[in-house]
Amino acid sequence: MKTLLPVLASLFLAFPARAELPTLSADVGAVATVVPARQLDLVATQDHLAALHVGAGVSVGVTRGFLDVDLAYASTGTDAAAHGTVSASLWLRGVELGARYRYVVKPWLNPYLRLAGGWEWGTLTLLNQAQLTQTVGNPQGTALAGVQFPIALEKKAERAVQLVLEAGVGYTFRPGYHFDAMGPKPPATKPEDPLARGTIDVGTMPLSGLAYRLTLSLRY
Amino acid sequence: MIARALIAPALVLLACGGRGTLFDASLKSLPLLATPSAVVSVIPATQRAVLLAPGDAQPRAAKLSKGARWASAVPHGEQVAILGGIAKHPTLDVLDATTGELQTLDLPGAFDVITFSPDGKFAVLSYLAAGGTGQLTARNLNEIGLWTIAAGTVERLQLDTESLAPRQVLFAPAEANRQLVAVTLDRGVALFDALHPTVAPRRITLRPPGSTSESTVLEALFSRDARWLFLRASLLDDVIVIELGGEVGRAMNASINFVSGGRGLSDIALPPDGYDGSVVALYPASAEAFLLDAHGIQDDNLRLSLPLGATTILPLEGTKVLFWDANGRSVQAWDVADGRSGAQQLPGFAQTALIVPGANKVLFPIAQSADGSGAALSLVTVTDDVNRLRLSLSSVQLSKPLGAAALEATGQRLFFGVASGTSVVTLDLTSLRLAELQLDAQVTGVFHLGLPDVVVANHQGSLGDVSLVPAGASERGAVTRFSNLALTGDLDRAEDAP
Repeated sequence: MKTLLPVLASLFLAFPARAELPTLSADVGAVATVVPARQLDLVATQDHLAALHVGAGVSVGVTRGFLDVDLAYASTGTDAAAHGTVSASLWLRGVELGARYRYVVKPWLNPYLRLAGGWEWGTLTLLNQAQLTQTVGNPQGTALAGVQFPIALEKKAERAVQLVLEAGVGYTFRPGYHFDAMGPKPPATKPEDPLARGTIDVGTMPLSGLAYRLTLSLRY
Repeated sequence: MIARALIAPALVLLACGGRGTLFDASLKSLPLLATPSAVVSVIPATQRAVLLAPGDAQPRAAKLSKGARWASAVPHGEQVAILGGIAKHPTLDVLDATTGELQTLDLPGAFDVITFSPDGKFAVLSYLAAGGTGQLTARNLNEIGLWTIAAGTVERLQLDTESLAPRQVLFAPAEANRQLVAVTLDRGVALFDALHPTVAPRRITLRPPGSTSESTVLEALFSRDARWLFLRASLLDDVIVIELGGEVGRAMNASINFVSGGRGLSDIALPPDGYDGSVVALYPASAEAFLLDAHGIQDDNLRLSLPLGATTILPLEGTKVLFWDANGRSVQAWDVADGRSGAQQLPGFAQTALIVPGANKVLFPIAQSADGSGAALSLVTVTDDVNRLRLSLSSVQLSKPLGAAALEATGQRLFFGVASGTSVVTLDLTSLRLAELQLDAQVTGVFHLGLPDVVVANHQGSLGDVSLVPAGASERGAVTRFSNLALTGDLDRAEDAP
């Protein structure tokens, strides 16, 4: 993080014809879901499923504000000991396309509403001798309300580079992740005379919940 | 103002809960059970039974009552009976292993064990004195439950004996209008009719009032016509014979007789067909066996000298009986119809004996052969010769002592593994042809399902691990292994969370 931001900032500042470009942004931060469903306890010791989020977007001016469109990737993982004998882990990652209407109250205060949708993959793995695993893909949708605090990094430029702090709260909806065919990982080298391995249905893990977002962006 | 606006949601988020206890409990299951078409694993901690049938793509989970502590398959059916519930509200779950359908019956007591009638129509629920009182302060061990399986009812019966607890429950062969049940106890036996449970049990004591006798019932046998009940008791060389009246729906008459033979009575067994008024009794101290007349008429007794020693009776087909010395290596056969006999020496000490149904054959697993050739599985076949019985011995060498084994119901094949071995072996008991299949994990249990013809090998593993093998298969491609069975449906238990 410490090295990434200056690098991104210097890339923006070094761009030769920045006045002709639409407003661009790049962000990095944490997007978390507070999952109330008890099924998450199989793989987690608390309810916050916090993901690393990286994204990039463009902004266009609309009435009394801006419409930001961004594409992002998020990834999170969690694991816990289950039933005293097996370590269970969940890796959730996905891409999303988001649209945000940002209302400019003050140059340094932009409340917003954001809607996003995307596709995620959840991999549940049971780390005991059998090493059962399954990856399930599902859509997801998020609605957030929040506020941005843009801070201009250049004082006199027509299009100043801005560092934007953002906080938002909302809800992420995900259909339940049904891990219905947990089977062993295929071995790296195929054995000569393998036995067929059956799968088990461990059930459905709901992953919807209250969402919150804390990001840091560079906007140009 | 902004800071204040952010504080409230931040506090809400931080206050969200930690981990619950839904996935903390150990998933130790009750011993694996088999019905004719499925295997069933009962997991008390998750209140689930996992059902796996060879035709199914996956195992299925079925919800049970709390506190499952004992389970057994109902004979000749697809049902599994599970004792559970809490001390104040004990229950009996009846689970259909093919459909997963569950019926829960309330019980009059927190019983420890179920004994089924051989035809699977009735069961007696009883206590084990060794089971302790559990969460209860006191239990009345003279109380039993009679479960009429088709009707789905459990009735409470009070035995009212002087003994503390039942030792054995024994069903008589079914009669047209009554089903006798004997419950043996320390000091005697109680008899009742399962078709007329309202009639008070008939109590027969072996220790008359004022007697200082310490004799205890060790074994009981009904004759095939349900007219006689034979008892073997400690400290007694006599077989106790109880002649039962034919009363139906009213108090039963019973007369008791003591029938003597030799010295050191160690086992009793039903006689061959056609000898219903008698019992086979074995006397190691005087090295003899008797076919004792139930009326006590000494002239009608038949005697066989057993010079090689014997401790156990193994009834065979027709009129033949085999005597096995569990402390030695000898087996001796006797045809009670004509007095012919024969003997054979096993290659070593046998761990146990498996009678092959429908044939005059008995299997003896040998842990260590006397000639140093290691473990073996010996098959003794009794055949007729002109003036004696011939005991043919066929042996199969094993790499290690016999482990888990299952005999096909028809007696044609034995499916087994060896101690700490990973193979399932099929032994054709007619031709002694062997088919061996190497699996990927140690075999700790073997079950044979009749419908379809599949062998289930149970492997070590706290979460359940089995391989389904088409019976007699020797190609690994025919096998399917299922691991972590106990986690089936584990995420669908959120409604159970406190």
